[in-house]
Amino acid sequence: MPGELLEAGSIVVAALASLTVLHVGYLACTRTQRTPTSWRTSAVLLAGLVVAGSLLVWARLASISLSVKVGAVCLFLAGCLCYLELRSLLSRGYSFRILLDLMSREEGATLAHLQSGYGNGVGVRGLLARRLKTLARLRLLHLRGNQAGPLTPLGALVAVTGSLMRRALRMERVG
Amino acid sequence: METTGLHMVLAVFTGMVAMVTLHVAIWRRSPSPYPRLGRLGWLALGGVGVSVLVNGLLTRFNSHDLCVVVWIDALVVACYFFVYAGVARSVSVTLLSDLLRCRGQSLDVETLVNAYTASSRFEDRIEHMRRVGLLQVSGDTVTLTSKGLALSRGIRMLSALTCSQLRG
Repeated sequence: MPGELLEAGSIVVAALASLTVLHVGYLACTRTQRTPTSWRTSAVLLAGLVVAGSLLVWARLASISLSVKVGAVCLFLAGCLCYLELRSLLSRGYSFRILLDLMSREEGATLAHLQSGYGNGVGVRGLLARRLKTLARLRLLHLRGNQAGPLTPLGALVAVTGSLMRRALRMERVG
Repeated sequence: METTGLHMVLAVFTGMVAMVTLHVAIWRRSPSPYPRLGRLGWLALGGVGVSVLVNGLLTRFNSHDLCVVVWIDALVVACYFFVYAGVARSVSVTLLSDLLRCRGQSLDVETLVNAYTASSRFEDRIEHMRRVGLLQVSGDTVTLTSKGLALSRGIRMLSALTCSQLRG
């Protein structure tokens, strides 16, 4: 029995390591190109790797009991989510960006300067404009010129879910 | 007792319901503008503990099933943290919620941005980073502490290793 679990665990670790190496390797190879990898290509690639990885874990554990196979795929997917969350933090982390902005200013900065100079001078206003564009690209809202909204049905669903959860946890003043 | 998948489903369900119930109860009892991820981490560990206990009682502590239950719990906890990070920190969710209040109407981008910058969200974030020891605030000036500097260097190194670019 422990042998089964050990085998399943090692296959999951190997699959996760392969997924990370392949994804990072692809990004490293395409970084030097003039046009950077689009978010759509990156998302499709990552989704493909996750599906392929899950199937690989399942197939490699063919002779092992069903419960261990299900558990191993769950563990693999949990690892994928951690990787995704890490990437999300590293590419869009608001607080991380503040830290990096401060790192380049040894003497420190005032709050007003931090806000206006956020993200190498983009400013918090620039950040919000960028987020609105991303939301429009994800088809969560309509963005025409200087007018934001209305929300699409999917955007309304995300907004309602987020608002309800924030209200349930009494976290209305966050984000 | 013969072990079945149903025992595991019941164990995972009980543990995760316990975690979510405690999470909502504690957060409602003592509201805070900070995400309190450490506390949530302890609650998640508690939830996994409940799952292990329930499964253990149902299967007389079969180590094989206990391990599988922990693996399934890992996925549920990872999903929960993923959603919670969005709820507790996402600027995009805040913008969507603001637009939801317009009930199908569009809003001037400037108005939306002004409402966000006029709120204390940026200051709250700075205060949270000060509380966890990443920043030092003296008067109006904000500087990095040694812990903040180490984290910043770590972020930079990890970004380079994973070919990530901070665009947010």
